Amino acid sequence: MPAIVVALTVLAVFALAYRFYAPYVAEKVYGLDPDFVTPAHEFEDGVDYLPTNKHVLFGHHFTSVAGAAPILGPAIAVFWGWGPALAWIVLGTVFAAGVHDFGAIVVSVRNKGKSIGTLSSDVINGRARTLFLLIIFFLLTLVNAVFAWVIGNLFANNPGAVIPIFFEIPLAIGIGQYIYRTRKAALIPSIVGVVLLYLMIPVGQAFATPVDAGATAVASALSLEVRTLWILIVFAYAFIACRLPVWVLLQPRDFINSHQLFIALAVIFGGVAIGGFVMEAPLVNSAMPEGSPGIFPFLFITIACGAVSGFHSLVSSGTTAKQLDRDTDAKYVGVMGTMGEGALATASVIAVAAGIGGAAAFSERYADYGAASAGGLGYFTEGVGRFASSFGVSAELGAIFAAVVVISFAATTMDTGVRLQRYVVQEIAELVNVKPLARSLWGSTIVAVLVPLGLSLVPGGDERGLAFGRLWRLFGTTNQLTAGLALAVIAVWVARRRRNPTAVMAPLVFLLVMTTYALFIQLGEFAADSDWLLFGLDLAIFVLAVWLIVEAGLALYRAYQDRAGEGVVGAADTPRADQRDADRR
Amino acid sequence: MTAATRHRILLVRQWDTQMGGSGCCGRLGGLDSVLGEASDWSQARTDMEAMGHVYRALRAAVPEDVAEISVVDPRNTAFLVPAIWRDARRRGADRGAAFRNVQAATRQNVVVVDGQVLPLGDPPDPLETVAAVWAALDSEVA
Repeated sequence: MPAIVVALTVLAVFALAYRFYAPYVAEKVYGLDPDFVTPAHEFEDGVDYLPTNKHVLFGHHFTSVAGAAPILGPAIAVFWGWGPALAWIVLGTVFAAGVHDFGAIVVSVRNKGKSIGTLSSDVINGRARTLFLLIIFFLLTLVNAVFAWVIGNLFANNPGAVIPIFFEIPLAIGIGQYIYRTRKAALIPSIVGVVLLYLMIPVGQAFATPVDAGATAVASALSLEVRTLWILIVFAYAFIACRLPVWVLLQPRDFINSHQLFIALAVIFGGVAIGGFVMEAPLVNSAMPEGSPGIFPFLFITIACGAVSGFHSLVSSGTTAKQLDRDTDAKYVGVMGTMGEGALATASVIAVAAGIGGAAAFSERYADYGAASAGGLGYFTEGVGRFASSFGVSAELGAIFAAVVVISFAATTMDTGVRLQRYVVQEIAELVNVKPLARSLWGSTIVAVLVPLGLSLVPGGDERGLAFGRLWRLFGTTNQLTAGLALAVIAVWVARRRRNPTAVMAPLVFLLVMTTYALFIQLGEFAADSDWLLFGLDLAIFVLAVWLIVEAGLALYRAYQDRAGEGVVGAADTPRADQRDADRR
Repeated sequence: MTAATRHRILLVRQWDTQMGGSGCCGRLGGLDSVLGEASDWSQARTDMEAMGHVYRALRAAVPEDVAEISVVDPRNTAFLVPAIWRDARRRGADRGAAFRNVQAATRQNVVVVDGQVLPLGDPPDPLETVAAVWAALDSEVA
C-alpha cells in the first residue's frame, strides 16, 4: 500500500474524530459551557492568568507535548506489524489521549487552573498526591534511563551525529546569551542556529570514522562497551545541564527544537508524498519467534506517547488551563494537540515500514522484540534518510539529520527529567522525613542521576544481553499509569456532575487492565531470569497500579453515593458568570 | 465591529515553562506546577510581571470589541510567524516590512499591533504603550 495513502487515511480519521467524537465528549461528557467564567477571566492578572486566543494556546501546547518518545515507541511496535501499531495510535489518540488531554484541561479549568497533582488530592483524596509523586518518581527514573540508553545507542551506531550534537550545546548557549543578554529578536538567530547545526551534519559525517575510533579506544581502555561510554557521558552532561539556570541552555534550545519539530514533520510527510514509497513491512507480523511478547498487552504499553501519554496531563492542567479564554476552546487545544502527536507517531511507523527493501529486510530487522527495541530508532533514522533522498539529500546525511533531531529531543527530555527528578526526590525525602536529602541540592541531584544510570546499565533481557526492551516496556507501563491517574480524576469529576463517564472510564479501564496485565507477566519473566532488580522495580510499579485501582474505585463509588444523595453538580467548579455576579451582589 | 474586523494586539514575552522537545515525558515550570522551583525561572518571572502591567493597562484602555489582546511566547513560532506575517500584509505592509516585523516580534517584551512592532522600551512603559497602541490603531483608521 502506498505510504501516502496510509498517512492521508490517518489524517482523515483524525478529522472525522474531531468532527464527530470530540463534540460528543465536549457536550455530553464534559458539558462545556461557552458562558463559563474560566480562571483566565476570573483571576485575570496579565501574568499567569490571561485569556488567550485558542490558536496561540495550541501553538504553546503542541510544541510543549511533542518529543522523542512518540517516535521511539511506534518504531519498536512495528514488530507486531504496522497495522496493529497504527491502529493503536489512531484509536489511542482518538479515544484515550483525546479524552485524557482534553479532560485534564477541562477539570483544571473548572478547578481554578490547579495542576493534576493537586487535583488528584482534591478530587480523589490526600493519599492520591503521594501516589502521584511515587508514580512520577518511577516514571522519571525510567524516562532518564531509557533516553540515556537511546542517545548512547544512537551515538554508537551513528557516530556522524556526535559532532553536530556536541556543537548544539555551545550553539544553544550562544543563542541564549545573545537573546537574553542583548534582548535582541530570536527568530533569525535561531534559524541561523538550525542552519549551522545542519551544516555540521556533513562535518560529522566526514569525521564519523575518527570519532568512532576514538570512542572505541577510550571505551576499550576503560573496559566498557562504546554505548556504555556514551551513556556515562550523557549522564555527566545531564548532571551539569540540570544545574545551569534554565535560560542558559534549556530555554534557548527550545527555539532550535521547535524549528526542528516542524522541519522533521515536513521532511517525513513531504518525502513520503514526493517519493512514492510503499509500505513493505507486513500489515500483521505472522512470523514472530516463539516466546515473543503478545500484542495483548504489550503493544499498548510499547506505544505510550503517540497513543496516550500521562505526562500530557501535567502540560494540560496548570499552564494551559490558566490561559483558556473560553471553556469550549479546551476541545480545540486538547484534542488537536493529541492529534499532532499522533501524526508524529504515524510518521514514525511509516518511516520504519515504507521503502525498507522488502519483507525479508523487515524479518531481519525485526527478528525478535529485542532486535526491534534495540534497533527501532536506528530504523527510524534510516527511514527518514530515505524520505530525505526525495529532496535530493543523500540518505546517509538524512539519517544523521534524523538522529540529530531525536537526540536533541531526547537530551532536552533528560535535562528536564533530571531536574524534575531532583525535585521529586526532595519532596519524597521530605515526606519520609529524610531531612538531609530533602535539603540538599547536590544530594538529590546525585540520586536523580545515579538511580537511572544504574538502570540504563542493567544487563539482561534479550539475546544480546540488553535490558532496554524491558526498560522501555516498564517506562510505557508507568506512563500509562500516570494517564490512568489523570483519567481517574477526570472520571470522578464527570461522575459527580451526573454525567455519563463511559467515554472516560473506557480508556481508564483499558489502560489499567493492560498495565497490570503487562506488569504481572513481566514479574514472571524477571523471576524466571533471576533479574531481581527489574523484578523489584516491576513489583513496586505493580503495587502502585493496584493502589491506583483501589483509590479510583473508592473515589468513583463515593461519587455515585453522592449522586444518590444531595446534588453536588459542579460543587468544585468556579462559577458561571451569572452565579458569580449574583454572589458578588 | 465583528471579530473578523477586530484589531489584534500581541504582547510577546516568555513564559516560565519549558516548551519544545520534551513535554511527552517531562514538564518543567509553571505556577503551582507541583514539580519545579520558581527560582529556576526568575528571569522569565521578571518579564512576566513587567508585561503584566502593560497587559492590564491595555485591557483597561482598549475595549474588547476593538481589539483582541493576546500574550504569546517568542518560542511559539508556529503561531507567531504566520500571524504577524498575515496581519502585516493585511495592513498593507510589503514583504520586506512584514518580514522585519516578524523578526522584531520574536524579541522579549514587545508589543505588536496588527503585525506592526511598536517602538517601545524593554519592558514597555504601560502608559506609553497605551498611547502608542491608540496611535497605531488611529493611523490605520485614517
